[in-house]
Amino acid sequence: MNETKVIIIKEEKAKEFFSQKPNYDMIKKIKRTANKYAHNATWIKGRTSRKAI
Amino acid sequence: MHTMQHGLKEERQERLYEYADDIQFSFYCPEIDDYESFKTDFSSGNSSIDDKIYNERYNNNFVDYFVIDNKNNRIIAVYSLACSACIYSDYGKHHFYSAIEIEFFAVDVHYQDIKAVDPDEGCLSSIIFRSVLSRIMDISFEVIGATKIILYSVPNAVSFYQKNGFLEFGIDILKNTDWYTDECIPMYMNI
Repeated sequence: MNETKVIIIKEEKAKEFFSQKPNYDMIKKIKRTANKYAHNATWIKGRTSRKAI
Repeated sequence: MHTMQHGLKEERQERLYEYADDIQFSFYCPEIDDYESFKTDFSSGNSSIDDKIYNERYNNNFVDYFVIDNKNNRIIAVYSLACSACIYSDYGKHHFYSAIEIEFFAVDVHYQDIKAVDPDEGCLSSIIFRSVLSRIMDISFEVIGATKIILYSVPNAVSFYQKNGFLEFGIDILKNTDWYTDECIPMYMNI
């Protein structure tokens, strides 16, 4: 249980926190950078990670 | 200690590339043997984080990715992803919100602060980090839904994450009790 990954929020304003919309301008920026440098980056698929052993 | 710091400065002066745009890199899930080269060759400048990544190599709670320089096979960066959750209590009821957590994100000292040709893109660390975020978003849109990306930042990296869209929680939360979060700041991004 010590590895449980949870964040517990006690305050009432948690409702407001969870209803926040994404920052779409920032997401566009991130996507633009990722696309711009996509030719620099290779995602290797099919390699056996230790998880599968 | 002084010697170590001096050595680090010398390492930083050894510039491998002029611009981040010149670097071709690959992302992959390392096999267990790959961690030996990580241990001998990789340094983020924070040995406790490096040790943690190495010591947790058998931990199935998250998946590690290595970012490799295609030209020389050096490890540029390491990061780890895990399913996670944000929970809040409301009059005895618990509400769960799905999240993806970046457990680690560390860039080797030789590759830190390598600027992009376009100043708006920042440095290589930002480019790699944004590629990772984009990948996480794709996963959350197409594979497993998540409302937030969360991470625990070391104090001196908070501004880096802010520049890349992360916010401090700003509300009272109970932190993950793993030791490495003791001095770290929880941050999130809505996706």
